[in-house]
Amino acid sequence: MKAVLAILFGAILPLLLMANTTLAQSMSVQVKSAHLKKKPNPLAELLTTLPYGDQLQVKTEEGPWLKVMHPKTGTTGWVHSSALSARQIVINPANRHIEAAHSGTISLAGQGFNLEVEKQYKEQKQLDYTQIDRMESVTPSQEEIRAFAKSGNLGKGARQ
Amino acid sequence: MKRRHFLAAMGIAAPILLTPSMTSAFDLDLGLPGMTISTKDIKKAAKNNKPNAIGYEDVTPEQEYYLGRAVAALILKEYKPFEHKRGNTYINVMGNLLAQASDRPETFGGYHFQLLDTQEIITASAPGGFVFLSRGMLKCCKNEDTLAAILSHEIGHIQKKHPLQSVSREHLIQGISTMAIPGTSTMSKGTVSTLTKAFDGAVRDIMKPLTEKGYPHTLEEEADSDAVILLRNVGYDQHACLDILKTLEKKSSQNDKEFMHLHPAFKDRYELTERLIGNTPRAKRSTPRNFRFMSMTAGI
Repeated sequence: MKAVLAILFGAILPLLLMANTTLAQSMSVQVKSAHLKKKPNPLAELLTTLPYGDQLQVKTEEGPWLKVMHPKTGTTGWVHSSALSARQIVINPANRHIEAAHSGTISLAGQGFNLEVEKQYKEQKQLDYTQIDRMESVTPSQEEIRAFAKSGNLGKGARQ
Repeated sequence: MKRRHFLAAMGIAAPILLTPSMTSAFDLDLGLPGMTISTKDIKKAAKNNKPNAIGYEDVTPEQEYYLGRAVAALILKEYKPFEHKRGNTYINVMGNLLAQASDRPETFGGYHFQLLDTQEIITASAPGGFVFLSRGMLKCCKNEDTLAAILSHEIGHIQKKHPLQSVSREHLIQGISTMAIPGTSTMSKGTVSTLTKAFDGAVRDIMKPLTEKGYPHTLEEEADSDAVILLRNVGYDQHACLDILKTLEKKSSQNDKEFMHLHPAFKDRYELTERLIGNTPRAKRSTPRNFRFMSMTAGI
């Protein structure tokens, strides 16, 4: 009897614990400017953008979309997982961050190939990045994209 | 409860308790003599046993961005950008609509599209979201849906990180793992020089498929598959993928001097695309899209 109780205890315990466990995960913005949207949809209204390195609390998931809350502003919305990293991203690292980066738990902004490397590479190859900077300055707004989809009778097939 | 009964219970519970979500959610201290289980210890043990294998997936979006800028700069050194405000705006809005429907809508610096001033039939994509399309390639497109098929193929290369897959492991290891000086966010001069050498190597690796033999057959197939999926996701006619393949095959068979032979046999690509489209019927011609295409590409 005691053996049966022990085995039942072992089987039920994880289920009880899982029921009490909430999704309390923290993710970091790993792109320059992540899109926080009203709904988990590519063409959803853009609420705001979130800067590189910001940490967000994940509330729930729907496919590749995560519902997040910004702890400082309290703003809630949906971000595509491609914009987020499970690692904490540190913008200005200190000694302890360098050590932690070795363990893979954090990511240092500017680690490896970075702006300093680009500057030296540009000089060595005598490359002009003016046109690249111009190319990057052309960024259609979410409103332009939505209007484009609507006027072309598109977007109805867009994934959730 | 006897120890052996408890151990039997834990034998059942352990596989569930040691899943990553469970171990990160809480620590388990069962309070029994000699029976404390610390999830910090479990994680440490797991980390120590992790194989030290760095691959292209370990390149951060920020590192990928700088590689992409360098590749893009080299492309623009070879081909002049074509200054046509309407045309460039058009491909940027369309391209971003398609990218947002992809598996990777967000890259470090975002997606950006540029026309090239050449009649050669060229498209190219650089890591992180830079896409180039020549005037010659645009002329092969009969309507907006075929243009969307071309852009989707390039977005497919970016979302699957095909350019990064060309980078040698040696260049990856140096480029990914080099740290800043402890306590700062900068690197020593020597470190920057070494990194720049690795960076140059990585950029050369990425340029090879763009200028020499093209990507491996399997990666081109992936990009073709992604093109069909993206067109479907957004609502374009998937048959446009077949239409543009037919046009490009004709140009190739005519040994059109403007056509660069960097893609695998059309027959294989056509058959794969047909399989992916399946029984989906051809969509009716979209007058608004066709009118928009003619209006935005006039003069190109």
